[in-house]
Amino acid sequence: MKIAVLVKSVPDTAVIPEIGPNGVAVVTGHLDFVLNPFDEYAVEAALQMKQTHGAEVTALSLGGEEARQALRAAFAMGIEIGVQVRPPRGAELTGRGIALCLAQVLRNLAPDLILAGKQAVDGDGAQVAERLAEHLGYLHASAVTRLALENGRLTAHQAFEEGQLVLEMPLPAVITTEKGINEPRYPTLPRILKARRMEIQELDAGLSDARLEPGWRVERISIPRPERHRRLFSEHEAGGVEHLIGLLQQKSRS
Amino acid sequence: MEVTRPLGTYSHLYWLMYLLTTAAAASLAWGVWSRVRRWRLGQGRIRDRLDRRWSRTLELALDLASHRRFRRAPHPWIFHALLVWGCGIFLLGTVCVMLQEHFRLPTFMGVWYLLLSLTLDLFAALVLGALAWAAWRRFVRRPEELTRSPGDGMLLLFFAAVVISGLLLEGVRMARQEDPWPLWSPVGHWISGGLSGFGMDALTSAHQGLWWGHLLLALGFLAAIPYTRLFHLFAAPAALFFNDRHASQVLIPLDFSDEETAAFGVGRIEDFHWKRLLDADACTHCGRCQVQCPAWDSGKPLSPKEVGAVLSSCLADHDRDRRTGQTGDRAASPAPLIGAVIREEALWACTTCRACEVYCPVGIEHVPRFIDMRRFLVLTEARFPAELQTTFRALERHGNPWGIARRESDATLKLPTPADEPRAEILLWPGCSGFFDPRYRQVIAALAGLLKQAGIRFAVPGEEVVCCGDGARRLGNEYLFQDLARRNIAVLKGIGIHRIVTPCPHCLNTLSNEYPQFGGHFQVLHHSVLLQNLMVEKRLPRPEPGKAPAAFHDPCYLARYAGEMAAPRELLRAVTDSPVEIPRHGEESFCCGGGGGRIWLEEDAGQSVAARRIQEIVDSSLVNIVTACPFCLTMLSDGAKRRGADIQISDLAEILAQNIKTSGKESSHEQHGNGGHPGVRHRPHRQEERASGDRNPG
Amino acid sequence: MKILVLLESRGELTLGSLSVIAAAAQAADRGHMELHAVWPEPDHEQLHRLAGLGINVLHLVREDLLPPYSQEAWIPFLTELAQNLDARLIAAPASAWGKALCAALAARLDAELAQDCLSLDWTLDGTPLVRKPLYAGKILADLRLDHSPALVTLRPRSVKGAKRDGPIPRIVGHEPSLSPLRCVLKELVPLSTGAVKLTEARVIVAGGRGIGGPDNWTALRELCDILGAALGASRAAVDAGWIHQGHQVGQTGKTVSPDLYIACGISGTIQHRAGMSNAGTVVAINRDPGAEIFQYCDYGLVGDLFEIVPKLTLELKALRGQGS
Repeated sequence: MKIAVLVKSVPDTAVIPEIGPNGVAVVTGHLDFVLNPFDEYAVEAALQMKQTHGAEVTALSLGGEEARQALRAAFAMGIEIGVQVRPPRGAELTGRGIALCLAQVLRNLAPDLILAGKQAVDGDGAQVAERLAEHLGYLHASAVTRLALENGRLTAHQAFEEGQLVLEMPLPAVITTEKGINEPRYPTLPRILKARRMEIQELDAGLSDARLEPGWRVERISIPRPERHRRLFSEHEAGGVEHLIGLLQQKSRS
Repeated sequence: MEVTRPLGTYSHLYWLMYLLTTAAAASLAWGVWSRVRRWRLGQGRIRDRLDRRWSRTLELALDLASHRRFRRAPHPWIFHALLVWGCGIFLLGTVCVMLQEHFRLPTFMGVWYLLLSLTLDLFAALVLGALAWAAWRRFVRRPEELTRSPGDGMLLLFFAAVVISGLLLEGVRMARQEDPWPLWSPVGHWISGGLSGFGMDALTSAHQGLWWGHLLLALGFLAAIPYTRLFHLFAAPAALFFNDRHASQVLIPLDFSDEETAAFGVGRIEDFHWKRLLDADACTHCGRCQVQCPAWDSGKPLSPKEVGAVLSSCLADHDRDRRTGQTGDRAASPAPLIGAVIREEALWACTTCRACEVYCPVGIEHVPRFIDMRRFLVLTEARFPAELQTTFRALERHGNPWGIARRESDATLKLPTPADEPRAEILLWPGCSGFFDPRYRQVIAALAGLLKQAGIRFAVPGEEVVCCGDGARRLGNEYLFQDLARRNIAVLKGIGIHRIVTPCPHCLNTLSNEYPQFGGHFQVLHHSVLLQNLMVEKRLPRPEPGKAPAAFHDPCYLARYAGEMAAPRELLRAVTDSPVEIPRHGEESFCCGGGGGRIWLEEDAGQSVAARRIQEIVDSSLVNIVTACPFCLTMLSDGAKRRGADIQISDLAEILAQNIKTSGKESSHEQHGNGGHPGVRHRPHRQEERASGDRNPG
Repeated sequence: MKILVLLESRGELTLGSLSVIAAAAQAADRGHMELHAVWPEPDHEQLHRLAGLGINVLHLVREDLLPPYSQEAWIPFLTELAQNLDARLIAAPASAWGKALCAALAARLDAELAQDCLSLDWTLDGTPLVRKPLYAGKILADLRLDHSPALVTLRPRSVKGAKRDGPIPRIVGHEPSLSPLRCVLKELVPLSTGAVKLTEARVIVAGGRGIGGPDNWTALRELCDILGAALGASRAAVDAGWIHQGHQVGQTGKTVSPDLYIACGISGTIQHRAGMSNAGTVVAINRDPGAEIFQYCDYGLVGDLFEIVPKLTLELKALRGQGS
């Protein structure tokens, strides 16, 4: 079995990104990059799958230097093969472009299972994996909290607002991972050090800039006011319960 | 007439005596050498512990002469001191005889002889008494912590036999031939009195037998040292001599530059530093560490004593295997230490409080060896309690152990940053608790208020600083620690204020003692010291002390790591008329259970450490506990809450600020105020007070 | 030009769907667009609820032809529909179903997709504008969706001021042919407090020392039931032996990130906070006005949880009763 895991580096979530001088871009150059937390679940799921069923697991990441960082983080967790997919120079990619680039490479790799985090916590695009499924003609399940493979068929528990859908599908398939599916392993230090020296294959996406041109324009980037509007009702103050009811109604039924 | 006693009765057989002595010395040397050889299996160089040679020697002499390391209640120490001193005197006497007899030096003559003779006799009697006491303690009273083995009784008897044979020999000598100075050998004289009925022949043969008997026993004793528990006669002074007082404060950094390294930390016995191997052999299993250990006390599967014992036997096994040629197999699959020899749970139970080290009479560095093994588990195996992963990841991603995003909380500290206060003379380092723990932020607010009141220009670092790394380092995650430390050092150097004050003793230790390892040299003060200075300099008003008794709970990292016990007590005296002490206090304080990263671990086994401390506080009928560490504040408050005990736990800064405020008000509003409502009160209701504080409904 | 809205119902039309209709109707008005809607699980008794909201054409699929919850079945149909309509914009609620469906649909239509948008607007020259959160909401991007078609999913928001005077929608029936499905829905596990994992729960009701004993969880459990929430507990409650450790939220328990966290009788020490600092809205109910949790909650009620919580449950029950 061949498994592909899609990984991405995201700016350290603890730090607030800054807005560039033009007001339409986020400056991330000064930030530390870490492996997207949702991708850690995907890597762990792939490693567990490899352990129980035996598989060749390849991690792929699209981009420049920061993509190599994501691959090294995946190596540190135990992945053995890493592919850096290089986008055309200068292309600013949306979810659409990323999926098109990755599809080029994955078509050749033809994995039986593609795993990815349910979204990357920088752009919160939440679409690349599903798009890939369509480009490659694979089935897909999103935000999966439980995954099992038996007799060549996947059983995936997909979370949704009112509970869980238990889906069963044949391979090949694309699965995106949600928190709770597993507890990603903590890499050992020798593994982290080894990961620094491991070889990364490089592939070009081989698509023209024009094909990847974003279909939208960023008009403005802003930072919302961070302060929470704290509202306290002292004992026997009127309106507290009523206020809460409104809040609960809104929050619990969306 | 020369003042001495007849020597050389058997001089024609001295060749035999020296032959036997040489054999005993060879046995001693071989035994010691084989132990030294196995310590050398460890890491590091002998030079590591050969700095300050004179002060090391002096300290060792002081340790032996004064037994200062033994003298901690409730353990008896005098009998051991008598045995040590006795051995010293006996050795001195023997050497004097030898010098007199063979080198004709006047070392056994005159007044000196008389004094020596008297001292020898007296100590012989005292040592016999001490041996009896030791035997009684070991076999009759049987303290739980003391490891007993059948050989112990034999050794005590052996020792007694050496002394008794010497005394009998003296008695027979004095019975055979009248001694002109009998009162200078009182015990011998007393024995000779009982021998008056024997004829000269009988006495002569008895003398001959006793002389050789005493010689053989004494030499046998020497020869047996390396092969019995007596080895501590050699190993304990060695451990004391090579002791590094700062071994726990300043941990040995790991080097991560070699990317080929396959293992970090200590996974096999020979991965330890050689001093830790020496420590394992120096342990006499007296159990003082175990009695004081908060982990053992609260029912965790950790006894520092047992760890020493198993390491020692593991070292012996390993050494034997090596010499009998099983090296090849072992090298292929290295003897695992953790799990097989030492339980993982034991390693995680240590709070790094250093009570064991303070109580250890032979200078064993207990804490670092736990951390060495934790390093192996965390770095090499990634094997640790599940909840730690949350903490490690939070530290990696958010720079604080709780994983709370910076920006939510910073605003509420509302204190000047270095940019706001470019002329700041002091940097206030709040620590993670100061930034994120709503309870502890009140301490920071109080401290900041006091600094302002004293007219000190200070600044608080912003979001760019991260956790100091104490927890990460002591949990064994050295890699994470070094990353955090380097980040902070770069930021602190950028800020450029080299005087730092912190209310957290853990930050204090790490910033002042460990950051220099990575090029960060800062002058760091604990807030208790700064506040005390400000009070002495009268930059802070002296508050009217309150009436209610209050006690200071010494944080481990303040009392035992930083040695600071005076300043907090000075401050306590300023806020209460009746400062009291918890039974275990000062350097002998009892841990809250939060150190060494324990605050982020579940306490599954036994009772909680905090509960034990709260028990002690309740038993002492104390209500007001003042402390000076965020972990102590959290752990003890939780412990008190869990027990439902009405104990008020606060930080020094809070109490001081509150009392100064109250006193100030009273002196301005009612000129003749008697300080009736100081901050420390009977049964205070802090919760309600706090509510009206910084919270602003709506 | 047309806007196509994908609706969602779970028993009834979801709040998110109503919210998308409202936003799309406003945009359609401004851009003089025709508003089309697809309702995958139509309930004919509820059809009247869609009258007047601004929908011009309502597309219904003959029942049983396309199984609900099957993306595999719906994607080809929706692709064809969007292409036939030549829709300028396709909008759906930012729910699990809506987001996954739109991602796949966007690939088929080779179109851009902006997920989780907070607002939808229309320029005078006929271009959709959306506001999309990035970096977990720490940054907002205003996007101008130049390329046609474009897809957006919208987070639910207040539908106050929604259009009421629009036309009665024209209904168009569809009978798509369905090829055999490879992905099958084996089971639908509905929410109940027992089944919701703390780590996945969107709403958590948690109790602490204020619960007072092992037998006092009923009030909280009832609130959980009506909210579809998971039951959490502070370490104090677990340590006291009042509830199983699996419920523990905090540094040494579980780390949770629900949209709504209701802390009842929890003082909120730092260890507890560590487990729930990623929660969206935090509600605290505590008798002690000095409780630390009041320093970092969004809504705080000082009072007895045994009075307040049952009151909440009762009122919610009454409201839900009216709703259906």
